This record gives sequence, structure tokens and C-alpha cells, in this order.
Amino acid sequence: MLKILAFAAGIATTTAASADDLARFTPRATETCLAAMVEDQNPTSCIGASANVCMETTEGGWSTYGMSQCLDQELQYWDARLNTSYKTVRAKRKATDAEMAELGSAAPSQGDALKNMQRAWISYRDATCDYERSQWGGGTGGGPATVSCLMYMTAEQALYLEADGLVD
Amino acid sequence: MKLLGSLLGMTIMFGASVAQAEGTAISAKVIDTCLSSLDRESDKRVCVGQAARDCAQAGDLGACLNAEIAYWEARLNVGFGMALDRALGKDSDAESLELEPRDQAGALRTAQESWNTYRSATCAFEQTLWETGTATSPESQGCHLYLTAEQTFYLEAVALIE
Repeated sequence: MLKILAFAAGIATTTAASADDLARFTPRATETCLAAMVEDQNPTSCIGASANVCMETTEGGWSTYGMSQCLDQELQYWDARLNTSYKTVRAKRKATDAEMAELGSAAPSQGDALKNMQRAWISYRDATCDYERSQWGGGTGGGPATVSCLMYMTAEQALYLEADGLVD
Repeated sequence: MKLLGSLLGMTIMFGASVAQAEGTAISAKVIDTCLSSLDRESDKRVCVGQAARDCAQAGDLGACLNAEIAYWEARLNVGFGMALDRALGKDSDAESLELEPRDQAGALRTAQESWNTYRSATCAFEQTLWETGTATSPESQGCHLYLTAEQTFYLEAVALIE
């Protein structure tokens, strides 16, 4: 549930060492976790697994800078997944709209409703992560906390849009 | 996955149930017992919808879902109040300690408003996916139920952060 968490301890003391070279990020841990999910397990528990591995295996990975970099790379991973799934759902929903229009149906547009939802979700994500940042005042934890929040929320929405029911 | 899971089961099990005036109360105890049986790693969402399903064995599914939605709405308001109290306290601490001013309470209010819009837009989208396409269908109610419960869990969690 909590989008912050995880790294809350141990932030401020470490120095921003040599976290520049973050070649160590791969989405493997997240994907392995997702692939191992069985029914009734919650795939959102896999979010952040790759960022954690990145922090553990990168020199300076637990510095504020290192954490932000690792979290940001998993955020980029989920963001790409979200864009892909949004496009897939949008194409499907617009196809349904076209079929319905051909049948003379007055059903409300699924494509428009999808776009409205996604716009509202973006505002909700940004406002929620602004709120989480505000918990840190001007503290250095605010950076990674914000990236972590964006990562969790983006991943949750990607998983939502990947649900079969939205495409079938 | 606000629309999945239990809803299908619900419709199959109770689709033929007759509407009855009585029996539309949900048991808060069912929810509390379920939540208190979970460990920290568990997904709290498994505890959402059970009370409405139990209720629907004797009553109307739509009315039972509304009753559980009302339960979570009330609990959401309490959770929001707790989180707001905490935010106002932090804002006031920052002011009295002459720290960098921050409007955590304002940020929380904005976040909650944006969540409200997100819930409406998400459930409106899901509504277009169902043939009945009405806001009062069990599917649409299920969307409100799950999203409201999820935000309640979130607010209850942030309210407890020190």
C-alpha cells in the first residue's frame, strides 16, 4: 500500500559515492517475481524488487543519490510498460467503439472514457507523490521518496492496464 | 484490478437472488476479523467484498454492495481525518521550529481531491466495458468498493507514520 517505505531508514548518513555507473540495473528481479505469482498473490508485491537489487549491487547504491538512480531506472521500466499497455488497451477500446458505431449503438465511447481515466490518474499520481514528498520537508529523503512513489504508482497502473479484462 | 476477482463469483452466486428488504446490513466484524488475520505482507484487498457477499446470501446484492461501500466511505473519512491531523501537526511544528515552511495539509487535501476524480473516472471507464453500462450495476459498485477500500488502507497507513 505505502508508496514510500522501504528505504526510510538509513538515508541521510551515507554519502553520494560513486553511484554514477549504474550499469547494474536490470528488471530481472521484478520479472522473476511476477512470473512466480500464483492466483491470489498480489503482483504489486513485486514492484521495487529490481531497484532493491540495484541498490544492493551498486557501490553507493544506498546513498540518497544511488537510491534515486536505482528507483528511477525501475520507474522508467514501468513507465515504458504503462505506455505499451495503454496503447494496447486504447487500440482495443477504439476498435470496439468503431464496431458499436457501425451497429448504430449510442453506447458511450470506451476510448474517451479510457483517456479521461488516464488523465485523472496522472493528476492523482502527481498529487499523491507531492504529498509524500511533503512528508520529508526539505530533507534529502524527499528525492528518493518521490521517485519511489512514482515508481509504485506507475507500476500499479501498468499492472491494472495489463489486466486481461481491459483488452478482451 | 478493481473489477476482477470476486465480482465474477458474486454475479454467478447471487445473480438469481431475490431482492429482500431485510438482510442488507453488512457485518463490520467480518471485515475486522479478516484484516486482523492478515500478516504484514498480505494484500488487504482480500478482505474487501466478503461482507457484501455474506450479506447478499439473505439480501439484495446491490443493496449489500451499497452497504459495504458506505462502510468504507465512513472509514475513509476517518482515515483522511487522521492523516490530516498528522499533516496539520507537522505543518505547525515546522512553523514553530522555524523550519522550511511546508503545506503538508494542503498537499494532502489536493491529493485526496485528485484521488476522488481518479476514482470517478476509473469507474466510469469500467462502466463502459459492461453491457449493462449503468452506475448501479454490481460491476460499477465493485469498482467503487475496491478503490475506496484501497484508498482507506493508504490513508490509514500514512496516518500512522511518525
